[in-house]
This record gives sequence, C-alpha cells and structure tokens, in this order.
Amino acid sequence: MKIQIDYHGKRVFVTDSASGLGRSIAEGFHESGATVAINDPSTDRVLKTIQEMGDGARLIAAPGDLTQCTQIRPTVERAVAAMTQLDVLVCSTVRGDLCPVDKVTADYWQGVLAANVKSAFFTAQACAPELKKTRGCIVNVASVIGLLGGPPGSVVYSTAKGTMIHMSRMMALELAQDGIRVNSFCPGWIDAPAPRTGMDAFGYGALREYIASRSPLGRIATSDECVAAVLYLAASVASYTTGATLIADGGLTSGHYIP
Amino acid sequence: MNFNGKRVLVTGSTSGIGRGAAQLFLEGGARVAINGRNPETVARTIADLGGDLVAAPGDVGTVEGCSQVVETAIERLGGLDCLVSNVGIGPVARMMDVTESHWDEVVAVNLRPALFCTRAALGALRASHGNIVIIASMCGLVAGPPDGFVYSVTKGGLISMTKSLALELAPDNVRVNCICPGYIDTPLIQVENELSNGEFNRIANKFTPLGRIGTVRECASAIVYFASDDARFCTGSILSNDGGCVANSSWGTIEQANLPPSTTAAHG
Repeated sequence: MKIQIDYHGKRVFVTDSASGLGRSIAEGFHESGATVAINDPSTDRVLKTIQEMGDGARLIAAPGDLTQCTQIRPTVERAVAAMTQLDVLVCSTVRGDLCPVDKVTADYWQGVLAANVKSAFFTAQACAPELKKTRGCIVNVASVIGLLGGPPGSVVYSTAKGTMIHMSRMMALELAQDGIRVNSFCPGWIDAPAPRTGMDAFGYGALREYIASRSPLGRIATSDECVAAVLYLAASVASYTTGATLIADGGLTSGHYIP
Repeated sequence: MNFNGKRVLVTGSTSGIGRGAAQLFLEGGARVAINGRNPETVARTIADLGGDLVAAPGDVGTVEGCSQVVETAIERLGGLDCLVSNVGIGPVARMMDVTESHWDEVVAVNLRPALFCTRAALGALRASHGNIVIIASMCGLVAGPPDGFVYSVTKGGLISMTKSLALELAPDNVRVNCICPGYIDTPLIQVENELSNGEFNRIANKFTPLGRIGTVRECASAIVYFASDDARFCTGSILSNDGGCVANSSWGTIEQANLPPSTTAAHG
C-alpha cells in the first residue's frame, strides 16, 4: 500500500540516495512523477543507482560528499542547473552506530555530527535560495532517538539527531518568510544495510530485534511506511505543516509498559 | 540544601549562571572547582567568593581542554560528586550567514564539552555515584532568536544528550539532568540591555508570562536542586526555569492578542 501524491513537475534532491532509506525515498518521489537528483560520494554508485531505477529522463546524477562543506555548494549548484529548479530537499543521511561514552573520541564525535546534522544544515543553506523561488520545502530525516534517550552507546548519535530535530524547527521559523516549509521525520528504526561505520556493543540484528520487540506494534517500519511519511511532509497538501516532527515508530515514543 | 563534603566542578563559573551556581554550592557546604579560560579571572573569582574553592582553569572548547579541566578539578578536590556543564556562547549569525567556522565554534563550545567533560569525569562520578547537570536553554526547547541560530540548535542537542546520557549512566547510579533557563539577569544579558537602552529587558519582560527576567540565584537554585539529594529520583529530566516562556511558545502577549475582557457569567 503506497501513498499516492502527484509529484509531476517537481524537482527533488535527496542526499545519500544511492542506498538505504535515501534510495527508497528517491524511488518514492520518482514513482510519484518527480525529477530526482541522486546523490552519493561515489559517482559510480550514483550512476549505478540511476541505471537500476530505470535510467529515465527524470533522474539526475548529483554525486558529492556532503560531509565535506567544500563539496556542498558545487554539488547543489550542479544538481539545480541540471534540473532547472528545486522544489524539495530531503536530507536523508542516517549514519548511526553505537559507541559507549567511555570510548568516544574527538574523531568519532566529529564524524557522527558531520554526517548527520552539519551536512544537512549546510546543504539546506545552499538550497534555500532556490527553494525560495519555488516556495519549496525541506524534510530532514532524524530519528526518535533524538527525542528520547537511546540505548547505551547511542549518546552521540542521539545528540546528533536531537540537534537535527531542533535545527529543523529553527530553519522552519527562519525560512517561513520565504514560503519554505521545514519538517523532520522521526522513524524508530530503518531497515537499511548495516551502517558503514559498523556496530560496536550490540550486533546490528540483535538491536533491530530488540527495538521491534519494544515497539507496541511489535515490528520495524517497512520502507514504504518511511517513504510515505516523507512524501506527505513534502507535498503541497502539507502546506500548513512546518516546524513539525512526524513520528512513525510503531508507538515507541508514546511509552510502553511491559511487565 | 546540604552539600557538606560534596565536590563540585562548574565549568564557566567565573561569571553569570556558573558563578551563581558555584556560590550556592559553596553556601551549601560544598567544595567547588572554579573554571574559566583565563587563570587570572579564575583566581580573582576565587578571591571574591571566598570559601573552599579550587582553581580548574582551562578551555573546555577543546577536547583536550575538557580532559585537562576535569582532571585538574578531580585532583584538587580529591574526587567529584557533581559536574555542572555550563559553558556556552551565543555569537550572532542568522541562518543564511552561518559559516563553517561559526558552526564548528558554537558546537565545540556549547555542545561538545557536555559530552567530553562527562567522559573525563566518568571514573570519579561512578565512584561517588554522583551526578551531572547540563545547562541548556529555553532556546533548546522552542526556537530562539533568529540571530542565535546555531546557539539554539546546539541547546536543542543538549536536551537529547541529557536523556541518552541518563540512560547510559543509570546502571552506575549516576544521574544526568538538564536545566533550561530563560532570560536570566547575567552580565551577558545586562550588556544586551545596556546596548539597547533598556529595550531588551522591556521586551523580555513583556514576552515572559511571569512578566520579568529571572535572577542568577533563581536559576542557580534549579541547578543545585538537581545536584542535591532531594532530586535523587530525577534522571533524564528537563527543567525549565524561564518564567513560562516555553509554555508560551509563539503566543506572544495578551495585549497583542487584543482579546476583549472576559465576561464571567454571574452564577450563584
């Protein structure tokens, strides 16, 4: 069951869209009729993704490593030039793993914040002038782990995602005058390939199963469920939704007492 | 509140809220480590406050600084019962004017030290079953002024950090809580007020439901509460100390709403 919103004529830039949730989101917009810019640090991966998605005219290659600030503006400019306009930016990077506080290093801190929030900020800043022209919108993919505490080892990731959620509010207020909406989407767990940095304390599978068992709905979200949330937030029917956080977590954040 | 024999480090305690907290801890009988970037300012603060104080000067805006400040405090106090992570800066830049170096600087001073000072203090806090009080801001719960974009963003991050740290350290019986102050009468705010010929305070008063800005002592009271034994069942808790600003959010003032005076039906 997929959400049906017409995105024909809309130009969408999805960060980190060659794999994982970003890819699913890009596919969702594409299937809904949008022109989508596919992004990944690797040009090969971008081209392969475009090929796998059907290689149509509505797919633009936008390779670039958005964790490097120097690459953000050039990547965005190239994508916008190819698409001629920009209606939606989705910052989809979800790079999380576990590291106990005892073992956190300066580099680890830097890496998690750069990937998950700093790159989203500067990408949004680079896209804002184009989004102003179309009265477009931004969707930041965060996580419920930014709203609650997370399991042991998640302090840095939780901090990064919480920072991203509040940043979305700040951006919503600042860009409202330009007609740009900004919202965040908070899933509970995303069924993506194991994070690139690898898992530390828990096994990836063990943590996934644990979260599934703690979710009142008793399972992890499907990819379509995550994509639907993003497609809604970016749609013109969501025209009065800004500065908001849409949660799709099977009930995890509402609190669940298990005796 | 009784802090006899308790050992406390307050980062950024040479002025403002940090200094107010140090003073209140001192009055409660604690031994306090005073921190600031300038050793002379730290020494002067110690002389002014008097009492059982030690110096832990250093810049927690660097990762090495966090370790060095905490280690110095622990060494001079003989352990640690409470870490108050208070250092923060609010340099001005609207969202579209934020540069990479501005972002990095504000994150390094407002967000990172809470984690890295905690990391350095873990051994001592586990040994004492102590606690951590993180000073965020009402701007971490609702959006703050547009020219303090990164300031507000980092204050929001501190709130998530508080909750996750609380969960991670709970098995060690080390509590982690967060204060979100509103407009407090600190030197920072006083300067703003002077520069604006009193307009800043007038506006803050008007938009604060309780109609005034808070005193340093009022803010410090919330900090020492969380640190005290009275709060031993609090962890992962976020306490607003803001005269109602967060609850008020965007509602503004009654005059702005221009509502007609309410008519109360004359029931018997």
